[in-house]
This record gives sequence, structure tokens and C-alpha cells, in this order.
Amino acid sequence: MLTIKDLIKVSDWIYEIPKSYWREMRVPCRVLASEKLIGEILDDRSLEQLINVATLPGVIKPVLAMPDAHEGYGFPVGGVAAFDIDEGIISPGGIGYDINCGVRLLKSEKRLSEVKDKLHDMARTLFEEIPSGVGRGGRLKLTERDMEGVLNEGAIKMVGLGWGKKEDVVRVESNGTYAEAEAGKVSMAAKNRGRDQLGTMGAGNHFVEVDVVEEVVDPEAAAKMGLFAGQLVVQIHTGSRGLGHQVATDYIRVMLNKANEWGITLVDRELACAPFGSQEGQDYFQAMAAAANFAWANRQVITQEVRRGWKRVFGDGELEVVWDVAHNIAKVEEYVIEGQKKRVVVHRKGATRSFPGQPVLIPGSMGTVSYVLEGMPTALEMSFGSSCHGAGRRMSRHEAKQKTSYKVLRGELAKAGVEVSAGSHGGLTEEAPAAYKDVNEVVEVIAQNGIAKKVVRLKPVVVVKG
Amino acid sequence: MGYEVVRHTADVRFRLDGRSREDLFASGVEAIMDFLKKPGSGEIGEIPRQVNVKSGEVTTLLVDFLSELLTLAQTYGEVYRRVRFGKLTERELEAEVIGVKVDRFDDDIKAVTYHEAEVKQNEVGVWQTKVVIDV
Repeated sequence: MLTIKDLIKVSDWIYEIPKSYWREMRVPCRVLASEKLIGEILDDRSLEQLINVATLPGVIKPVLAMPDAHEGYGFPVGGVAAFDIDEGIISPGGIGYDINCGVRLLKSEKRLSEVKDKLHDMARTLFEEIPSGVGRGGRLKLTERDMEGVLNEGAIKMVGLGWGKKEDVVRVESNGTYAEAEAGKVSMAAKNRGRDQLGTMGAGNHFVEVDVVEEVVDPEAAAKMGLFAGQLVVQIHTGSRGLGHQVATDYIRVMLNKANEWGITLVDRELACAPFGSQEGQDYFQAMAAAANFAWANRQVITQEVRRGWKRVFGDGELEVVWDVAHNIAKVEEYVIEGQKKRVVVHRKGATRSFPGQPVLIPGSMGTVSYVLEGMPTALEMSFGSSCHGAGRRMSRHEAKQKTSYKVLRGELAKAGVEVSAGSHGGLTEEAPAAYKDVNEVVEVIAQNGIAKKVVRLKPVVVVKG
Repeated sequence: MGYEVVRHTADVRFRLDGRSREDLFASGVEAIMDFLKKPGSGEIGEIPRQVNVKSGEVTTLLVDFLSELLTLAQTYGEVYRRVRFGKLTERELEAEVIGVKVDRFDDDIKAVTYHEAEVKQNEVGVWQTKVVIDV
């Protein structure tokens, strides 16, 4: 395993693994981390995985690990890698099984001080309104035709079916529609897995959370987003559910079987990839885009479910979309590389787009703070327009469950003023804050590197989990 | 022979053992299905499903097989407690699994991954591998 001695400290906030570390590496690796976080990142095999990514064909320098990085499959979670559009590959492992797992932020006009006595009700009501938990289906069961529409059009399709307003999708990455999507590239197995899952949260680290804007760090940027101190906002964290998982599974298998034919040597099966221009590469790209649309449609339906719950408890008040961003996705984007404009396939796995002027949503672990940042121009030069995505896991679910008492955790959350509605004891304890890195430290690394600036800090008051 | 759950940062890792290749594959089925739904005394019904899989080699065959069962389980809302192999070579299998309907699962699996999987026999002939699932 790598140790700190193998890394070059470029600055207080950046480490590098040079290309010379291993002859198979085509490019160096950069790790955005503080001294405290690099120790945690070195505890698992995230950086060994990052090094493996640096061996893939057509990779552009550098490959990056974000400060919340942890071990994944193939690519580490918190990994960012760009590939030449003509010479390079696309890899499902560089996006993750939960395609377009992401976050949507909604804002209200309400202040916490006005509605504090209704939070318990809100926790219970949102739990009723939003199907969550393991294998739980939603209220919607899509016809074949609707499914095709959802896969090809994403969030706007759900608006057309009566779930929300046209204005919602304007504040969504890619307007909630990935244009390259092709429903025909998604298998029947994937469609079957996702058929009754629209409008559902799932389990694991997915959640719906009501937060209060605890601190405004950048008043001008906050005002632009319509955020103010004491305001109630809502975060929705979920993805493409079983449909996306199956798309990834299907195409990893296809690409693994063809690796020899393409002359691609895989040091890890989960790095299975295809030349971007190949039939299989394009098929996966279009299927991934379709799954991404499913996830945006999912968050659109949940938005309406939250709005319904909001009205039930508060009687009035609107919830507007601030932003919605993917943190497991691949996009074709243009960057200046060695003085020349170049189109590349950026893989973001547990990494969020950070474009100048756009919000960057960073949820903390359950019960801890979250951040809204604003993307800065430096991100385009430093990290292919990418930021971290959250706090990053540092303890296994098993260990978290063993070390955390449900009763004690509930007590701690209550003491912190957080109302919780959770589907299971295990589902809560495995998401204990201690299982994650410190989100304040993670975000500080991003800010210090100039990738994004802090706008507001959020504190949870209601957490709804599967 | 069975399975054991071992530590993994973000997800769940099983260590599978078997006296034979069939036994190993059956241990994989047991591990995945027990994770989805703990066996209970109230399980009623016997739903047979045919599963045929071809793959490049025995490790990917195992993972692909377990993936197929996961897809079936989540599509039909079933868990499979028994498996009978009509054919099981290094690259191909034909199996019948017998399942029961469930109202809901205890836990969710996004995918069965190839991560760390490597089917081999140890020095005393026991078939072994790790299998990591994304949850």
C-alpha cells in the first residue's frame, strides 16, 4: 500500500503521485487534501485505484482524487478523470453504479424561527409522502411509453405528466435532460428494475433533509441564489435507483468481454472500458445519459412529494429549486489543455461539477452541516471543473453499526435539534457521522484550492431516511 | 460450506467457501439472498426460475450469475433459497433456482461487483473467493 513517503507535497492542499511511481502510468495523479485528510485517504486503497486509472488509454493529465475520496470499484469514489474524445475511453466504473446520484436543493421563504414547533410533524409527514427504504416501490408505475419518455427527456417529462413546473428544470444541471440519451440502449432488465421506483429515495446514504441556513459566508453570492440566514431549505439526495445500477452492471459485463479485442489490458476488472468512439462506448454513453435522465426525473417527482408534505404541515409556502447537480456522471466538455482547446470525456465519480458562477452542493453526513458553494474559474484549470461531493466514508457500514448505538445516536441527534424519521435502526446507525470524514475539512480544501467558494453553511433540522 | 461477511470501507464484502465449484456458487447465492432477506420460518411457496449464463472465465461467471439472480430478485420481489445446477463449467452454467415471494427486502444491493473476486482452490482443495457488493 501507498504511504505518505510516496507522495510529493505540492502545497498545503495538494499532493501528487508522479508518473515515475509506476511505469504503467500515463499521467500523474493529484490528490486534493489537507494533511489531516491525506492520512485518512491513505487508510484504504483509493490512491492505488487512482494510479490504476492513470494507466487507461487516452487519459489526460492529471487524474484527481477529491478530499472526500475513498475506495470504490475500479475508480475511487471522489475520482475525476478526463479522456481524449478520439483516443480515449469511457468507463462505467468512472461514473459508478448509481448513475446520476446527485443532490437537489430547494429554498423556501420560511424561517426556522416561525415553524420550530412543527418540525416533528414535518419529519413524520415527509416520511409518509416520500417512499423510502429498501426495495420500496413508489406510487408511479411507468408504462412502456412513459418509461421511454422519462429515459429520453428526464425531468421535463415528469413536469409534462403533472409533477412540478417548467421553471424547476431551468435550475438543474443540463436542464434535467441529457440530450444524448437513448432509451433503446437501456436493457429490459434495467427498465424492469426501475419501473416502479420513480419518486422513491432508496436507502443507504440517500436522504431528504430540511436544513436551516446557519451561516451566510458570502452575502452577495447567497443573495444571488435567494438564500438568507435562518431560512429553511430542503436537500434531496438520491439517484437512478435500480435502473441505473443495472445499466452499469450490463455495460461493465459487455466491456469486460471485449477488452482483449480492443487490446485493453485491465489491471482491475471494474476498470472495464470501451473506446469512446466504439459502438459499445457510444451505447453505454447513451444508456448512461438515459439513466441520468431517470435520476433527474426521480428528483423531480420527489420535489413534488416534498412540496405536498410542506403544504400539509405549513399550509402555505412555495419551494423553489435552487440547483440540482449530479455527482456520478460523465460529460463531454471542452478545456484548454497545453494551450489548445480540447473536447474530453470527464468522468466524475463522487465528484460534483464546479463551473464558474454555478452552485456546488455538498451534503455532509447525516446530522452534520452541509455547504452550498459557488464554482470558481480555477476549477476549469485545476480539476476539469470538478469539486468534492460530500463528506466521504471512512468506516464500513458494519463497523459503524457495531460502534454506534441506535439509542445514543437518536439522543445525540435530538440534542442537536434534529428530528429524524428513519425506516430502520440499522439504516440509521450505519450512516452515523463518525463513519464519515469531516465535511468542514473537505470543503476547506476545495475553498483553499480556489475550486469553489463557500456561500452558505446549512444545519439539518429534519432528516428523513430509508 | 458457506460465507462470512468481512470489513469493507463503503460496502459489504463476503468471503465464500465451497467443497466444490457448485458448493462455492451455492454459497454465493446464500450470501446474496440472506443479505437481501434474512431467512425466516414464514417463507411460503416455491417459485422456480431458470438461469443460463456464459462468461469469459469462472470468476466472472460467478459474479455474472449472482448479478442475474439479483436482477430477478428485484424484478419479481423474490429471494432464492435453493439452487440446482444442470451444468456448471468454467465458462457456462445452467441452473434452476427456487424462490419465495417477499413483501419487502431487509436490505438493498445496487450491484454484485467484480472487485477482489478471484475464484481459486486453496492448498487443501477448498474453493474460495471474495465477492463485494455495492450497497
